[in-house]
Amino acid sequence: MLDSRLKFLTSRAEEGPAELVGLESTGRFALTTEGVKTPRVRVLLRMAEGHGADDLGELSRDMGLTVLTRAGDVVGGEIGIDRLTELDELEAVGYVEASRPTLPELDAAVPETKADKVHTGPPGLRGAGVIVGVVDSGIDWRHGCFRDPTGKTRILRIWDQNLTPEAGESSPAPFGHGVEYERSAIDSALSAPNPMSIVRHMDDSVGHGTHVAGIAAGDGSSAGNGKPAFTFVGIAPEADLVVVANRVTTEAMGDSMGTLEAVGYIFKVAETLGRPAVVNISQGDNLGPHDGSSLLERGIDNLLNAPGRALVKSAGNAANAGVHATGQVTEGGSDVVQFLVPVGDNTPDTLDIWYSGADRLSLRISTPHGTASAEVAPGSTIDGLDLPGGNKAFIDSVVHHSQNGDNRIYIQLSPGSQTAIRPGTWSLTLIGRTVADSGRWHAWMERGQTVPQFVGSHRTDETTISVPGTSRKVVTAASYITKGAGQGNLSTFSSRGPTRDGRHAPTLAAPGQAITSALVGASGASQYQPMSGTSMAAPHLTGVCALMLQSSPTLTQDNLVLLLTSSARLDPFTGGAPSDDWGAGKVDAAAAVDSVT
Amino acid sequence: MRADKLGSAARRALSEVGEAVGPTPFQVLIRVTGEPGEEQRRQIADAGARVGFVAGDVLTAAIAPGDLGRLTEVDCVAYVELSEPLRPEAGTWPQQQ
Repeated sequence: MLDSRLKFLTSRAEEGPAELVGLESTGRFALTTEGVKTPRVRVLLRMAEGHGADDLGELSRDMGLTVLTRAGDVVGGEIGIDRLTELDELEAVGYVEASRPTLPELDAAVPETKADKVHTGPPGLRGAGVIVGVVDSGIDWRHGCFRDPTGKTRILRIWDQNLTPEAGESSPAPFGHGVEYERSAIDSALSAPNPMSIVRHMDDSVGHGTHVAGIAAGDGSSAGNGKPAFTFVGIAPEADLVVVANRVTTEAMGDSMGTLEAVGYIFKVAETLGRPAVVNISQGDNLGPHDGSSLLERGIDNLLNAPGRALVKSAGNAANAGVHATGQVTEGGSDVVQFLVPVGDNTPDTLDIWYSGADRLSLRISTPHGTASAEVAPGSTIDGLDLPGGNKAFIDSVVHHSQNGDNRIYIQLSPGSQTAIRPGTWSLTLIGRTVADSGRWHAWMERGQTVPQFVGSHRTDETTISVPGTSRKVVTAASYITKGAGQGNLSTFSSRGPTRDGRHAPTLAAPGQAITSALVGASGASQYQPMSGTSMAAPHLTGVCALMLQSSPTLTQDNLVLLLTSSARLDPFTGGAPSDDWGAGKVDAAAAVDSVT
Repeated sequence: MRADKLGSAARRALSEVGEAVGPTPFQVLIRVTGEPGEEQRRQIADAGARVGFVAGDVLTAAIAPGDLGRLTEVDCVAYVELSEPLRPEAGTWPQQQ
């Protein structure tokens, strides 16, 4: 099906090239008329169910579609206007819409959440007195958005877990690693000729943490990107910040231990200062039991045991990513789940399968075009299982897991004698030795730069909330679209609930797509950049929690969850609530703050 | 060694380290039975774990791979898992001009 804008363009194309040249000049249509034989238009295309990469190749070859980007079942590309009708008739194509100019702005997201109404009041609440904690890649503390009107920093502490103390520096107690910078040091650095000699911490070149901090607590005071000062205002622009920079590598942003310590550090600083604090975590992990029993989740829940403490976590971007599969096995029966290993997968791949403690499942692994391995019995650990073709597997099949009493099969594939894991379709056969419960199993794939995806009928987007988002207490943020194509809809990448133990998740949704916020290394007119992901949705909710904590500093995490969910907005996009895609609906900061009594 | 108290990633890492001399300490999370008192913390330290932070019944610690076995044998230690990597949840999206 073509959207109305494409139908309009198709009809105008019939009027002749001059008509399209005129439309292109308005900048409102994603058209290219110069230097091409036939005018071309940029489109977003949703593949029909059951169609994927193979069909995309045919579309490129047969229809002249130039694929520019792909996100799950949504493809961005360019195609000749004269091929649109033909494209629309293909079975592999579900929907085609014109790419529209987007204005990705935090200034649009703030009114969308109704935080602007909270800012103006009465009483006007802008987060003053509340600490916003950011556990992330770090922060560009030089950015104008993180200073008060006198030019002093609003960052109370930075703990960089990557650094080793040098002369005059120290690690925070009791953690004993990394380097801590206090507000006074940051202020000294801001007025020094060589600021980085005083505060050695800096966000990485991507600037994920700076962006996240800007959404939650940036004040937008830097003019930039062609807009005046105070255009890109964050949700809690007068909150103070405590930032912990995780250990960043090419494959990861921090780990569970460093993250738990970071959360503990932020609450400790807040306690010392007698302030309420809300922590934002915009990173996660696909592996784990997804029932709140991972030690990171349990530790976070333990820390959320006092008034004036809150934590928000991104739901994850795992929908349409093939990271989860589920199925049921009967006693004596079997179930086969398949996953596709891409070419060039040369790092170990980890799969994590969880099922009821009352059942007993054994496992066989089959390589592409290979024979099945020997059966791995429940309760056994096999290190260095030789697979046909030279790859190896470590398999740890645990019964009555110490974490939760359930059973787990942990599989790590490694190249072995080969340079990479064999590309193609692999199979895991789960065999029901004893099925005293439901026989239900769930499997997750670890994230990475080049990793397999589940394929086939067992693949599902459900239960894709990332750990620690399946904690029993944290607020988990889904993402929805506030600008451009699909406005009002849930972002297609936003991870879905429920948790494996059947609790509704995520908690609620916030803007997370094409959000403009503070840029690392900002200079001149370039002060902000757009980013998308549930990473961007979470700090909106973090900011809202800060506004609520300003109104009532002794609110507990449970209070905040109740007030946020009971005040959330429902509309035709969200449908009824609660659901396992939107949670309770779209955040409404004004209603949430009003409900604080 | 009480292998049932050890997470799968830790078992895997342990098998990879093998007999290597002076390997880098593992960063771990430990669940204990109830909030640890002085005696429990002493037992954990005696097993070779350097505890960093306590969050109720969950502790962070660094420990040499060779000491993991002793740690799992401490009565108050219920479960030990390797610190797992986390990844950012931002991606790219087509930005039409």
